[in-house]
This record gives sequence, C-alpha cells and structure tokens, in this order.
Amino acid sequence: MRKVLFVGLSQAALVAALVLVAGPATPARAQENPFDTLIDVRMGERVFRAQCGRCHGRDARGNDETGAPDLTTGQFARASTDAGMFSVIRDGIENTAMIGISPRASDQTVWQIVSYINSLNLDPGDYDLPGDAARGEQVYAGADCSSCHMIGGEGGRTGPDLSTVGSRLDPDELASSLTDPDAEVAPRWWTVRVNRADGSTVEGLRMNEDTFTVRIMDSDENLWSFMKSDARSLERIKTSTMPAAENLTGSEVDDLVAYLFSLRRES
Amino acid sequence: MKRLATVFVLTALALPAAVTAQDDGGPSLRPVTWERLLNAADEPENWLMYSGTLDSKRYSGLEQIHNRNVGNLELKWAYQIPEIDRAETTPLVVDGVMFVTEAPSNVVALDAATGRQYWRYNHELPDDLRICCGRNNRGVAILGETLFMSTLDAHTVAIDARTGNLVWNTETAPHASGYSKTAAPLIVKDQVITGIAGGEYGIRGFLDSYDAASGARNWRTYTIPGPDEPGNQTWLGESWRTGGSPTWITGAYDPDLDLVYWGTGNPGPDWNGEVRLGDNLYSDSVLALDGENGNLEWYFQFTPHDIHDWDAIQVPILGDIRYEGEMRRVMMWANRNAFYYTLDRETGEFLVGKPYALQTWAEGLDENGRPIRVPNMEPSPEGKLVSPTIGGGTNWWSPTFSPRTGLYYVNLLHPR
Ligand code: HEC
Ligand code: HEC
Repeated sequence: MRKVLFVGLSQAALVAALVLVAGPATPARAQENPFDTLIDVRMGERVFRAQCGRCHGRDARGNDETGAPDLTTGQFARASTDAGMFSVIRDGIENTAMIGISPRASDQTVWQIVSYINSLNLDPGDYDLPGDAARGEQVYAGADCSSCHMIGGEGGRTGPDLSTVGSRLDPDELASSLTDPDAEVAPRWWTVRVNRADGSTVEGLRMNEDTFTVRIMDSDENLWSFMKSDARSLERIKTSTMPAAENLTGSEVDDLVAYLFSLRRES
Repeated sequence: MKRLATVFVLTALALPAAVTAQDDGGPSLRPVTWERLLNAADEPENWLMYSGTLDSKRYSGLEQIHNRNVGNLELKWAYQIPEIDRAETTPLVVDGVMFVTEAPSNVVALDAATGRQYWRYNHELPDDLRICCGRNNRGVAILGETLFMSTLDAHTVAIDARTGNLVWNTETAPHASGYSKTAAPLIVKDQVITGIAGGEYGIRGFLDSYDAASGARNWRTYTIPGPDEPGNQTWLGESWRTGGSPTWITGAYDPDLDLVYWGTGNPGPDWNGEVRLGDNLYSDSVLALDGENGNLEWYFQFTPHDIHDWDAIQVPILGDIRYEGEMRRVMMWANRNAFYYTLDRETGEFLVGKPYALQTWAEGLDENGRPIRVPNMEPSPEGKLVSPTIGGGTNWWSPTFSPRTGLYYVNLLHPR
C-alpha cells in the first residue's frame, strides 16, 4: 500500500515535469463562425433537436437526470468562445457523458449548432418592457423576497439564487413565476416530509435525492440527511413554498419583472 | 497520470461501530467563527482548515483508530469525483458536512456520514487557461457560513456553505498573463489570505489578503522586491519582473506573534539561471508577514539562485519544542531541496539543518543555513545527474508533527 502510494506520487511528480517541458496544449481550431445567418440558426436547431435534445432537452434548457447543462444562459463552463464551443460539440468533453457529434456531421453543421445555441441567449435589447427596473428593485426590497432569495450573496436560502435569473428566464416566465409559483416547480424546490421511526417529522426543501438517501433544508436553513430505510414514510409535496404575489399591483409586477430581467452576469 | 486519477475515489473508512458526527441526521453546520478556528484542535471530529489547525500540525486528536484496530476498518461509503483529473485536495469536515474541491475549480458539499451530496458549485472557466501542472484545486477555507476558494482563472470566490450560492467573485490577477490559483486560502481573523500560481509563466508572485465579507483586497505583498526595495538587486537586470516565486501552498499563522508564514516557489525560468543571476529573493523562501498589513517581518531563503525547480512550497509546521535546553517557538520544514530545517519562528534564526533524503548538490549548510554548493551541478545540454530530482526530496505533500511522539513525519523521494 505504502509502496503503491510512493510510486504514484513520484509518477505524479514526473508527469508534472513532463507537462512543464511540453508546455500548454493549444487547441488547433481557432476561427470565426462562418455560418451564423438566420437560416443557419434554424438548421442548427433541427440537428440539435434530433441529436442533442435527448440529453439537453429539446428546448436546450438542460436536464438534471442526465447532467446535461442548460445551454440557453449564454454562460458556458467549457465553451466561452465560439471556437471553444465548436470543439466541445465536435470532440465532446473527455470522461463525461458529453460525446462528440457524429463524425459524419460536417463542420458546417457544427457551426450551425453553435449559431443556434448562441441565439438562445436572451438579449435584453430584444424586449420592450413596460416596467421600470429601479422601481422594481424597491418593490423587491419591500416585499420580503430576500427572506427566501439571495442576490449577490445577500438574502435567504429557501429559494433559488436570483443573482443571474435574468439570463435564465424570459420576462413572461418571470411574470408567471411571480403570479403562479405552482405552475412549474423544479424538483429541487419540492418539499419532502420525512416521517421518522421515532414518530417525529422533519420537513424541508429537497436538495438532493437518490434511491437510498435524501437531503433537505428545513425552513430554518438547517441541513438534514436521511437514509430512506430509517424513515417510516416519505412524502413529496410538489407545490411551491413561494407565496403568489397577490397583493402586488399589475404595475408592481411589471417593475419586478423589469428588475429581475436586468439581473444577469456582466460579460 | 490519467490512470492514477481514474482509480482515485474519495473513500471514508470507519470502524463498524463508529459514531457519526450527527447521530440523528442533523441539523448540522454551525457557523465557523474565528474563535473556533483559533481553537480548532479542540474539535478533533472536525477539520476546519487546510492543515487542520493554524499551526499546520496536521495532527488528528482522534483516538478511535490506532495501530491495533486499523486492520478492522471497512468501507463505509465511496464518493466518485466525476471529473477525471488531478485530485490533490484536502477536504474540510464541519459538523458532519464535508467540503471537497475537484478539478477544475469545483466544490461539493457531502454528508460526511453517507458521502451523499448536498450541493455542488461548478466554477465557470475561460478556455484560455495557462496552467503548468494539471487542472487542480487543493481545498477551501471556511469562515462563518462562507467558503473561500481559489480558481484556475486566478479568481478568489466566496460560496455560501449551506447552498453553494456564489457570494462574491474577485479577480486576483489576469489569467491570460499566466496567473492561476490552486491553493486553499487561510483565514486570519476577518481576512482571506491567498496565494498565486504560475511560476512557469513569467509571473511576479505575491500573497494577498481579502476582506471576507466583501471580497475587497486589504493588502498585497509581492514575493519579489520592486526596484526601490531591498533585495531587488538579487535579480539580474529586469529579470525580477517575471521571476515567478509563486505561493501555491497554504501557509500557517501564529496568533500570539500575529505572523503569517508562507512558502514561495521557484524563480523563473526554472533551469536557466544565467538570465537571472543573483540570489533571486524571495524565491524558494519562507516569508513571515505582519498579520495586520502584510509587511515583511523576516525571511529565510532555503535555496538561493535555484536552478532545479526546488520550490519552498511546503506546509510550515509551527511547534514549541525544547532546543538546547530551552523552549523555543520554532518552525519545522522539510524542503524540496532535500534538507530539513528548524527555524526560530519569531526571528527567522536558523537553528538546525540536515539532509533527510539523498542529496548531491551541497556540501552542507553554513552557520546561517545557507547551502555550500558542490561546484558544476548546473543543468547542462549534456545532462547532469543531481539528487534530489526536480521532483525534490519532498514536494507539496503534507507533512505532520505529532505532539505525542515529538516526531515530524514527511513523505519523501529517495532512490534505493
Ligand atoms: C449523452 C448525453 C449528451 C448528448 C447526446 C449531448 N450532450 Fe452536450 N453535454 C452533456 C453533458 C453531461 C455535459 C456536461 C459535461 C460536463 O462538463 O461535465 C454536456 C455539455 C455540453 C456543452 C458544454 C456546456 C458548457 O457549459 O460549457 C455543450 C456546448 C454541449 N454539451 C452541446 C451539445 C450538443 C450541441 C450536442 C448534440 C450535438 C450535445 N451536447 C449532445 C450530455 C450530452
Ligand atoms: C417563502 C419563500 C419565498 C418568498 C418570500 C419568495 N419566494 Fe420566490 N421562490 C421561492 C421558491 C421556493 C421558488 C422555487 C419554486 C418555484 O418555482 O416556485 C421561488 C421561485 C422564484 C422565481 C423563479 C426563479 C427560478 O430560478 O426559477 C422568481 C423569479 C422568484 N421566486 C421571485 C420572487 C420575488 C420577486 C419574491 C418577492 C415578491 C419572492 N420570490 C418571494 C421562495 C420564495
């Protein structure tokens, strides 16, 4: 055991040395996207639906089960340039479920998919919003939203972080998440009620779950972890814990939407 | 390297009857105050910072596992790191929650009793990173309810410990100029002390302090003196500008002396010393900085004018030991250059220095701890065999000191 570890460490040191000598690997492809017209976007979308949708979702919004990320946000962990995205689509991402596109696909097709993905990023300039963002910020402060939501590290933990919600949701979706929170509740925000063997009950937002275990955050922001086999029963409540914005006027909702839509990462 | 990484899974081993930190499944995670960090040794069930305690002893006070029952350990859980790359992290354990960093610059919060995930933070990285030695991260620091992490694009980020939400994100240095960050920060009062990597890419190293609450920088101390500062003349011409001397392993802190101790890496370029003639201060050194403002209080250079890539990137271990009949506040350091050193940590005075692994480059150390070099050991086009190798007698691997045995333990490379 110790021997193995020893060899492992010296190998690591050697590799460090070799990498050093070789210098950083530079990607060979680095060019501008030649296929970025509207028709390219549409063609890219068709291929995307057929080949990528099963993991990323037909609307490219991502899928928790497959681990395929949302591609509509304009923020990419692995593809901050067009050329970088081209390589990700062409070659895949080593050691992940992200496999490269079929080798039969032409470079043109790959560039068209890049154009399609780029088109999904919401541009605030494309929208003419009735509300006013500065007033919306005041509504936000007055309506106790921050007891559940964080913006820039400030606020509560029993709702999604809204720091960049404007690049995730479009104005219609923002409005409906305010007026009709129950319409679409992601599993992360379901409530799980754990009835324990000793008769007590713990309830909280579903942070993470697998076949045998579940982890939740209770309303006091405490973390809990349970083996399902230790629980007497488990209930899932799929409605939202967010109160509908009933006592806000229509124009206050408009202002809130304008404010929330302005929350995006400066690039 | 790849093969190595593939088999790396973080495993938790426990005795069959082991008691877990939270018997009833929670609630867990109390805020980690500065008071708790100061007294981290009193919470052996936790591991609250990179080296366990501020004095970096890396000694566990837990007694349940020992040499007579270690053979009975059985696998309790395994957590598989999804991203296959370097795994050189030290997880933190805080009240039953384990924080593990992963390549490239991600962190997960796990239930320490089951290895199951609470949340994950994936840091977005640009495509044009410049990193010498693998995509790597060595761990987080915690203060209050916030984690602090270095990222490969040379940012420092603050992350909410309960949710993984991003709290702040501060650029430390431009990654396109060769800067990157891998080391776990060190908390000193309300400051996040954090180093820099990139010694192979012509950077000028430094150590930074950021305000934990806001991410604003309090101070920066360069590890290479500027033109008006003493020591700058130890670099030929303008070579100080790109001389490396990075700070990529977490240091230590002495609250009584209010001194921050940090090691520095190799001067650059690594093996080509003619372009940077001189001692090249403060590369391959340990620096003692004022905990308030980062002023340099003393330094000790292990390898003047290094030409073998022997970074002084080791964890400084602080201990109080008997030396020549009196108790001394010392620092213990097995260096990559294959010598072990004991220094007085109040003054930087050299007390003891001896080889601990095979070395052929120095006849010994003089009374100030400066190496007496064997002539003609420079790298050459024909090749020159020298011990230790560029990997060093040891490297960044954590040593430890046991107050029980009074012994210092270190992983080393020594040819048979
Ligand atoms: C088998 C499932 C699967 C298929 C099919 C798939 N992907 Fe992915 N994709 C993933 C996963 C998983 C990741 C995240 C990999 C990681 O970084 O861990 C990913 C990542 C990506 C990324 C990088 C996202 C980022 O944040 O940088 C892009 C871009 C992408 N996929 C595009 C595509 C396109 C275009 C297609 C179709 C040609 C496709 N993917 C097909 C699973 C899939
Ligand atoms: C009691 C806690 C709570 C309060 C108060 C609250 N929310 Fe929410 N909010 C949630 C939760 C939980 C969700 C996620 C479930 C859902 O989609 O309804 C959510 C979702 C949202 C979303 C959608 C975010 C996304 O990423 O999908 C927005 C936007 C939002 N809230 C805005 C607000 C605003 C504005 C206020 C104040 C008027 C507010 N919330 C008050 C808990 C709360």
